[in-house]
Amino acid sequence: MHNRVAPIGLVIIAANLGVALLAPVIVPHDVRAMHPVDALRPPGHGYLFGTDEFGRDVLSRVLMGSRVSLSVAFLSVLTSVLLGTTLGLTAGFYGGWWDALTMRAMDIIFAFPAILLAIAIMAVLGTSVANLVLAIGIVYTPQFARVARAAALTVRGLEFVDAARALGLGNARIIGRHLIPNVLAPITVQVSLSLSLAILSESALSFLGLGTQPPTPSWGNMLSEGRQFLELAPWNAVFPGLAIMLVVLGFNLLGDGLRDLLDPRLR
Amino acid sequence: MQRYLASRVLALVPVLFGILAVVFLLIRLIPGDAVQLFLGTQVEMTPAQMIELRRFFGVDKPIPVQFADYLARIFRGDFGVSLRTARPVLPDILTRLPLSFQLASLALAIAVLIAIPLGIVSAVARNSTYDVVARITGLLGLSIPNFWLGAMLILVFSRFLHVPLGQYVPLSQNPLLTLRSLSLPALALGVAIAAILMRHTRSSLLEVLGQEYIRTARGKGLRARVVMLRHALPNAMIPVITVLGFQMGYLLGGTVVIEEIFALPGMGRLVLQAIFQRDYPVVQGVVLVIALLFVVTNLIVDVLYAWIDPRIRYG
Repeated sequence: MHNRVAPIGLVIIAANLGVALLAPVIVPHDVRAMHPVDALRPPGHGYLFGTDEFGRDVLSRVLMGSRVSLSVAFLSVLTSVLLGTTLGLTAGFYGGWWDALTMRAMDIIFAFPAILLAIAIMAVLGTSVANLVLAIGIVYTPQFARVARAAALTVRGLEFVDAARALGLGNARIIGRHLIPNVLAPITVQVSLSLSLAILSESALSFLGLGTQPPTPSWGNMLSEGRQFLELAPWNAVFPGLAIMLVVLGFNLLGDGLRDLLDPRLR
Repeated sequence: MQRYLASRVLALVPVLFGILAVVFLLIRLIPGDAVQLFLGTQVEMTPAQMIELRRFFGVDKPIPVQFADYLARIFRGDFGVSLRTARPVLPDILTRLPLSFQLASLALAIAVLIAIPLGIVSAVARNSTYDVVARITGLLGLSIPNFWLGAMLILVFSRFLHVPLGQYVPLSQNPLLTLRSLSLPALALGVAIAAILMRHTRSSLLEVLGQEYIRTARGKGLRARVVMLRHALPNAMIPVITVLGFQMGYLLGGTVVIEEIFALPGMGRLVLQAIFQRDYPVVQGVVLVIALLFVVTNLIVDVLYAWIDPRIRYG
């Protein structure tokens, strides 16, 4: 099943990326333009997804919201990948006290529920996009460190690494030429799954008021605003949630497909 | 078993130390002066008063000394005093702990009740239409934001079914009303876990069903029911329990978000309120208590795992 649905995931992600890139051009209305006369209009009547309490177009805001959600997700996972892979590879390759130190540090991050640690970091650092990227990035670093370390440990003992060393290659060359290519597969799977978690985290933090701040539309803060008119105008909460679900599903489908392709253990 | 238990508890010491260090350092990460930040811009203080206040909060000493003081206070059960209410932090947290714990437990129970049967049917009827539908539903469940699902459940039940959600009632007063007030929040929280558990039940069971001892059991004429319940399922559940341990963090962290949307007075709402009021001792206290709960539940899962599977104990 998975190899048939992974392309669907890819299509969903590509479509979302396209929408995020083109959002400023394709939005039917200005996301900040308020039309008090049209406040809380139901879907239809010139507003496909309806309007919010200020008469702002929900469709336009959902489309623009994808920019924040996706860019925060990509940047924070990039942070996790760079940090986690570097720590994990060097820990596995060099071993010794460095390995012990980094992996204990990762254990400690793991000892906190992910969303709680992100909430705590945002609470002390304050709400800004950079802090949001940092908080989510830190929380998902240990996964990459563990995956990279495991791969480095497996490869380290293999003969071709001994051969490379016998040929006089330095540690940096061995890591770059022989270790990194071997961790790419498991890291790629982890990237896709972490992106889905990062999008959920960003929207949860923004929903709680600790992430993207209004008036910049993000799916999480739209949900938080829409919740106040849940019964009166449910479309304000329904559409941002559907958007989150669709992208997260896309990354999950892709991640699952990649895992089956690259790591046949879980089928 | 006792030796295993002792080694597991001992391994927790550095982790606990690390947790305490992180929670302690959280406050030092605040950009600028924590005392000034707490006072805000309205309050004017003389330099002498600031020094006095610093001494009161204990932030006038070197960081290592402050950390040692912090550790000593935590071990005495002194979690500090709320900056807003001037009440000790720990009792306030402990009165709200049962709700959050019950919510997480109920979510786990709902997830297990949904996931295990569906996973079994999915594995037995592998690649059937049912299996494909169940797996796609599972992926959807994994992709729904829990707080959005919560909002949708509130919408459906209050607007369309006209079922009042009811206020939280403590377990000691009326367990049925507790169950009633927590069932929708627990469902919203548990769906993602159900999806994960279902996937792992399915794949683990498929692996076990391919083993030789299952063929032997079938070969000696045991009924399919007996093969499944006595031989396949217990072995398939072992890896699922490990997954369960990982998910406790999601459940405990998720209560913060779910309590907010369902307006439940648990630890999650306490910490959010404290964050917006810059009441840092309360934030520190709740983060510490939830992290400790997570560590303890993980220990319980580990021990359970070793008890079920002797290979872990002697490995």
